[in-house]
Amino acid sequence: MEVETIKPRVRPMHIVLCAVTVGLTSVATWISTAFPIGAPGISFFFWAIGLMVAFTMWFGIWGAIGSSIGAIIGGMWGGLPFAVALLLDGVTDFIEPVIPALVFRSLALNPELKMRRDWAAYVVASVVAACVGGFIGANVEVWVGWVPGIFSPAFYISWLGWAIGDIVCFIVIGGTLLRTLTGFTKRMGLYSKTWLA
Amino acid sequence: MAIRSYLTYVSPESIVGRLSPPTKIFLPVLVSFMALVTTNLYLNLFFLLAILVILFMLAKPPSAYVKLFTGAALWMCFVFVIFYLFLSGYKGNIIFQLGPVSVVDTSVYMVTSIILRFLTMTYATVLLLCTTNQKDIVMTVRWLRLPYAFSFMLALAFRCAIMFLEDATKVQEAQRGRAVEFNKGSLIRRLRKFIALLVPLIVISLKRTQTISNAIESRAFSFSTKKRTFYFTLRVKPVDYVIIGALFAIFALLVVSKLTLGGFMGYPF
Repeated sequence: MEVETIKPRVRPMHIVLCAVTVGLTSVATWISTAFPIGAPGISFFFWAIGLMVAFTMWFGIWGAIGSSIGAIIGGMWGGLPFAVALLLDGVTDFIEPVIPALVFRSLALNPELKMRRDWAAYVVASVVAACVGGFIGANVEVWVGWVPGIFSPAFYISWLGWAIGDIVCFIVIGGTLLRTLTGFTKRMGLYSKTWLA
Repeated sequence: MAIRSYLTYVSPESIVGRLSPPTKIFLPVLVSFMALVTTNLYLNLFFLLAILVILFMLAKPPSAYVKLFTGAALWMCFVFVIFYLFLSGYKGNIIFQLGPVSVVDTSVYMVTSIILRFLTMTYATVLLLCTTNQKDIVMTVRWLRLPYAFSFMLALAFRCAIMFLEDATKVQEAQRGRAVEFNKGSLIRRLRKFIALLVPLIVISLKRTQTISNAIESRAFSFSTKKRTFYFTLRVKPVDYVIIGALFAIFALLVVSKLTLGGFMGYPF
């Protein structure tokens, strides 16, 4: 007997998921800006990134787009100028959560993080994502003039401050959310099997 | 009657309050980008004065909100001073020296320029947040003829952000009712309490997502509808077109000048 497989398609639900992601991450980004490290526009406890990575793992591209827009709005509420929030948060908070999601989807790992292999991959992907995000973020800060020149001492403060703050939140917040709520999103039918649907 | 913006209630009788939503959005956004592309000290000073005049004389937001953003901006300015004067490694004529620490003229010029640009962008953002509300942004997105899915998503996102804050208060009160003290304990304990607050909040939001999705899909909602009509329509006056056109022209001029004139628009070294 042949079983017909239904190809997942984009539905209004995905736009709603994107909207909910924007709503949650904007508030999370806004609250995260209350923990500045001293480098301009960088938080030492950017817990919003934990939400962003979980949403991108669950909802695919909709989670990543929502995280990016949410970070721009939340950054503005937290005092970042619009032009800088657009370049700084809009770009980096799109790329950062996509990296672990890309690793998990390409290697067919389980985001419920039940096995050691999944945890190890998540930690490695998180470290890489935070370092890449921090490097891009510090470069954007150089470009807008907030940090005096690439590879100056201030550049390293921005880069490392960003990366360390994000790694902790990736692992603690993101890891906990993925472990506890991935099964729930699957049961609710909100989990995207592909990047789009 | 005062109108609700993102931050506060502002008078619709103010000159900026009477402008159409696209103008209220494009004005601070484009001034912000103008400050970003300009590195000339005098032009930066001009932009800062211009945005301050628009903000305080034409928009008139309550001073409490301006003070809030000014406090955050002054902290950032302090960080810029530390970064540029002591951690930049710039070469130039020494103005001040104390042991191994020296301050050069190049750093002083640069930090002055950065602070002027930053303050212009910050006050432009205050202007944006004090004069626009959710409806203004959603209607401007529709006026720009961006896909309906985007304006729908934005409208829902702003609503979700408010509901998330309300849910957070409820969950926090429920946890307090179970004798959870969020402000006590070691860093690890506080983090665990914070996660215990976060998980139910996300569950509530995800359940709401499903309810909204089911509600709109059961009404045969589609984003591909060609002719969609709206309850509110935007009327943009000729003066708004003139202002938006002028702002885009100035921005284009600044970009072209920066690319062609170099030194005049940039740093003098």
